[in-house]
Amino acid sequence: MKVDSRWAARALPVVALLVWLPAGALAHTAGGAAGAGFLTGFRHPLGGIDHVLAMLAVGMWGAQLGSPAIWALPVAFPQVMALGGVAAILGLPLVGIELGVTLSVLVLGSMIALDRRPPIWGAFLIVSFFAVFHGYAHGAELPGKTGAVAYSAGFVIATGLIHLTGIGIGLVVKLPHGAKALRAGGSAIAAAGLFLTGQLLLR
Amino acid sequence: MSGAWAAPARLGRVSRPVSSALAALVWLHPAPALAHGSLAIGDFYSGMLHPFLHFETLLPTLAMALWSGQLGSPHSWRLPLAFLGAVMAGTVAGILEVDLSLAATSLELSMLVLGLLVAARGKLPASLALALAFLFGLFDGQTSAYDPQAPIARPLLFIAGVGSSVGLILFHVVTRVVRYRAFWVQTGVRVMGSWIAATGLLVLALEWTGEK
Repeated sequence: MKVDSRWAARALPVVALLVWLPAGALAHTAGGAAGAGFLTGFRHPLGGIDHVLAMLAVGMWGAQLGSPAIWALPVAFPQVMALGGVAAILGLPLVGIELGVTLSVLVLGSMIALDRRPPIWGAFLIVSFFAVFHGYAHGAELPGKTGAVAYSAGFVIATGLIHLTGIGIGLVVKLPHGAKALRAGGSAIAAAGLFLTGQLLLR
Repeated sequence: MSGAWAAPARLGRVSRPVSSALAALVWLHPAPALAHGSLAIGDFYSGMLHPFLHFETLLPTLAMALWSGQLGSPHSWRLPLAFLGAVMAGTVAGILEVDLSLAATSLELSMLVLGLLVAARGKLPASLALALAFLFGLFDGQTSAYDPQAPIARPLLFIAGVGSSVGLILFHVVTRVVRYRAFWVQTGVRVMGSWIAATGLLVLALEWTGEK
């Protein structure tokens, strides 16, 4: 995958827009909930190590699986996660949300460590199953209607960016010995997942 | 690149420094906006600022531009023009306080529909696509005009400001999506559509439960 540097230079204004937007929104309402919404939403997925590790693992696994998972998962994942969020907003009961989130770290890390390669629909089902838990956990903490769009956009974008970061890390498979390095990274995530799950169960 | 696109693409090359400077100017405005109401920045700039300030109006515009770019000529210029015209018409309606929205959720609905179309690279019959662009543009424009804190003294300047901002966003995004056909760029476009749809879906659910 070759990145055209000229294109990157042209993308800079877009990045600048993304960086400037939250500041602008914050300034406009002068401390109102709508302005703080984006930043709050953006920080939310970054705040929990379990969420960050699971999302990184989804990206890394996608990169390990290669096409079509590497590009299909980032397109499909937000929809499934949003459905989980909708379930939380509608108040549908879902048991073991925290356990589901920590287990997702363990399982997805193991998939990378063991270099498991299910067919695309299998990978999608596994990722979707856990995505619902993640979306539910986020959706349950959505604030009221004020600033809801900014908050939701913030956390969807942050989650997506962690996913893309995971893909970026996963692209080490293209380097010599990269496949082994990626599997080692997966092992580390799985170990963290095991620790988090144990911590949760023994609490 | 098809022949029909040659002219706008050339225009894009010539005007990039100018339009980038304009865009930078718009992005640098949040500081004055802090004093919205007390410090007058003028109705034109206030109108220019508005489409950027709220995700509710920015995200449907972005999704519209991404989708139009994906579809290619002639949709890539027809749909943005229809959308832009509708935004300005909607802004007029908003200033006149004519309520066009079917529900409080019309913007979220447009985010969901347009976002899903982008994510799926969906195609619709030309007339239906145009109707959607016009309808969603009306919703978007009407919301742009709404600001209880800042009464609009000179509506024509405000409408021109909104139109130029929305036009800039559409032009910038559509030309890029049309021109850069690399696989990873087009995938990135679909990912952005998916993000916009997910945001719309969540807020729709929130609004729906809120109304009960």
